[in-house]
Amino acid sequence: MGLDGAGNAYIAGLTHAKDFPTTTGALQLANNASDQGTGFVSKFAIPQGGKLLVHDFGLSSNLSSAAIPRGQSASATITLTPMNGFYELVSFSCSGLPNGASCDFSPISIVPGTTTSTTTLTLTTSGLTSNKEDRILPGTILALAGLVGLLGLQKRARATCVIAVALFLGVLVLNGCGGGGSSGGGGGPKPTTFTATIVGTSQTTTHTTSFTVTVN
Amino acid sequence: MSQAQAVAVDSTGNAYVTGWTTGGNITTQGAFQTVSPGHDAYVVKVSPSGSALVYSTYLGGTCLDSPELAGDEGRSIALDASGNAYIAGQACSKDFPSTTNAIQTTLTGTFFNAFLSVLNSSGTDMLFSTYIGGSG
Repeated sequence: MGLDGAGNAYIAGLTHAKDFPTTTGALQLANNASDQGTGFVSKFAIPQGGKLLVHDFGLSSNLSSAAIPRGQSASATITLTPMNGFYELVSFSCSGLPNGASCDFSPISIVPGTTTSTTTLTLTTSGLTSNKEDRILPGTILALAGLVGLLGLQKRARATCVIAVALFLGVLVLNGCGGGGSSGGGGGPKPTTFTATIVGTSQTTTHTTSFTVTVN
Repeated sequence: MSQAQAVAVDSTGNAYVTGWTTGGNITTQGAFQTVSPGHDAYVVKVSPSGSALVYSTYLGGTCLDSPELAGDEGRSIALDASGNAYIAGQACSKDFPSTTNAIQTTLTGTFFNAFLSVLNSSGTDMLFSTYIGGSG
């Protein structure tokens, strides 16, 4: 390699490539050699103002939202796009899932090539219980209110007390029914909605993509 | 293990060496690349008396699947009037450092491509770095 005083670099070497870059008007445009390779001379005018390209990757999902019948699963294709020669092992995981929902990736990790690669996410909701908890809370509050009322009525007439106990038991019974008639829309449990975040982690960086999941 | 492949000397007597190393080099604080993923090129600037490292940096990435080259290797080095170091060599890493003004930012060779990199005079920054080559 040599330099001239005007910021040009001259490189000589050997190439086996048939598509080695050549310039218009060059002495020899094609590599005619078979196995031995052919020599090359290249001159570079070094441009100013260059910045280092950061090796990085992008993550995207083919889904922006998913509706899953309770207890079943859904699949999404997660695309990994390497940028600027990014070349590290990327491992996949999920975050933001409620208890009872789980995710699996196939494959679980990828070393990207020069183009995009994909992994298949399977999101399972089989452990997701009906969201009875949502209705227990107001039921419990009512029950507690009944208890407080009962205590407050200690000095009053026994008949009133019996009514209070009946009220309290009534609330418990309602609660025990699972709120079957209270959720509306056909009597099933209320849909659970959450954001599934897919996390790609490499040695140097982490990226995420997410979509909304509604479990009916 | 390291091997020197080329040396250049500037007008004040600093010596610049490039070659390849399998790691374990002493790198200087603030150097362009202080961590080597494996077998990489390196650039070292030594003071005129030979007693001090002015800078020492790795240059390269991760080369996993080239049957013909163990890693990135510096083969030639030249200096401009500002003390910037021009390093030419062979790169088989898909993540060899490249810059926004590169002519080729991805490895196209089956085994390796040539590279041309320009390090600033203090060895802390890459001014230009590109792959050069075709797909053979």
